[in-house]
Amino acid sequence: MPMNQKGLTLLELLAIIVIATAVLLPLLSGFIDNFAVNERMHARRASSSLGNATVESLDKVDFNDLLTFLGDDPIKEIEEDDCDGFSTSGEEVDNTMSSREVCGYIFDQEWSNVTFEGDAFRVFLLPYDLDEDDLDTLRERDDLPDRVIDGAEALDIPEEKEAGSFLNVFVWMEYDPAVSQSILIEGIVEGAIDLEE
Amino acid sequence: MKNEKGLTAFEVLISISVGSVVLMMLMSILSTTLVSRNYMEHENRLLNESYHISEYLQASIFDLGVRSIEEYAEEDEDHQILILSHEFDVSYEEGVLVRDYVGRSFVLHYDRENRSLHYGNADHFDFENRQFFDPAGTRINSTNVKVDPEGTNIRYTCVSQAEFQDDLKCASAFIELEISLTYEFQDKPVFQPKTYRTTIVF
Repeated sequence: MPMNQKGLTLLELLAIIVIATAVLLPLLSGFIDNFAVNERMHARRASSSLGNATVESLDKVDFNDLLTFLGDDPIKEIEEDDCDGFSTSGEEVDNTMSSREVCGYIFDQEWSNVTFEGDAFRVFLLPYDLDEDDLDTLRERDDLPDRVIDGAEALDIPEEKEAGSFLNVFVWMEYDPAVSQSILIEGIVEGAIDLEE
Repeated sequence: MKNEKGLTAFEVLISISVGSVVLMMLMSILSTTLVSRNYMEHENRLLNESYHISEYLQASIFDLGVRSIEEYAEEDEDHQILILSHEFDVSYEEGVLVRDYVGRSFVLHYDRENRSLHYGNADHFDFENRQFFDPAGTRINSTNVKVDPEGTNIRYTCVSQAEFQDDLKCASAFIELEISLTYEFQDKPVFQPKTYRTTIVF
């Protein structure tokens, strides 16, 4: 039986290329998505460690500096430039860092080469005895991430205002701005406790 | 009826040439894909190792409740030894909080000669020979991942000092780990080492 010895027309060839591309493209984009997911997981893993390290670092800052910085506000964001307002005592002593230097370190931290900068890394101070009026003030502010407001609402509200020897710290990090994925690490810093020898 | 004529030598040559070019292109794509895949795997492997080292140390420092850090034998080129101590527990006696001194200390040992990092109880560390009695049991890095001395730097910046039983020690610090890792296969490095930086606070 004679074989069909006609080749393909240019149109047929083009159709094959188009179909093959249509099949391959989703596979390829899935492959690229894997890279993005891998990168996102990497940033998320680092963000929780960086958040905890930030709370731990703020605990090394002079508690009075933090109290003065917060004042009567229900929430205040610490930005890198604000570190200049913290005290410098201790700088002149060997092996001792001032609150200003410790604060500066917070914004230079790395975790397995991951760093967060600018709007992707925000540190907030809140009073320990946040009340309903304070929460209303927070809800009215549109510059705060939703997770920060949710976190504040989830805090225990004391029945009466107490003199603060504790402060709440919220560290909000956006580890994937492309899809608005963020993490909130909460912690407490306390004033010094005297111990007897 | 089938065409029973064969191919001419010229046609065969052309076919072989075209086939070779196509095969070469395919082989180069395959080879690039394999190299990229290996590189990605290598990067992932080292990244995971970096996470493991950083997270293991952070968790250990947290578990121990480290209150002081000091460097032992600074002048030694082959070994870096950091002593992390818990110093004291806090107990409540007759209405006041008091320090109850305990002798719990751990050692972070970077063995430059064997390119390995170790962490363990100070009682299990031979300070004279500068190694743990059980080096394999205290090693943090995997056996086939080496901590390259070139590019590795472990240092701490003291935040504050405190007196512990009349000894002034660094009581709080930022520990900066700059660790250069190499994955080795049959004792030979695969790709270039990668350096990772991590800050641990206590």
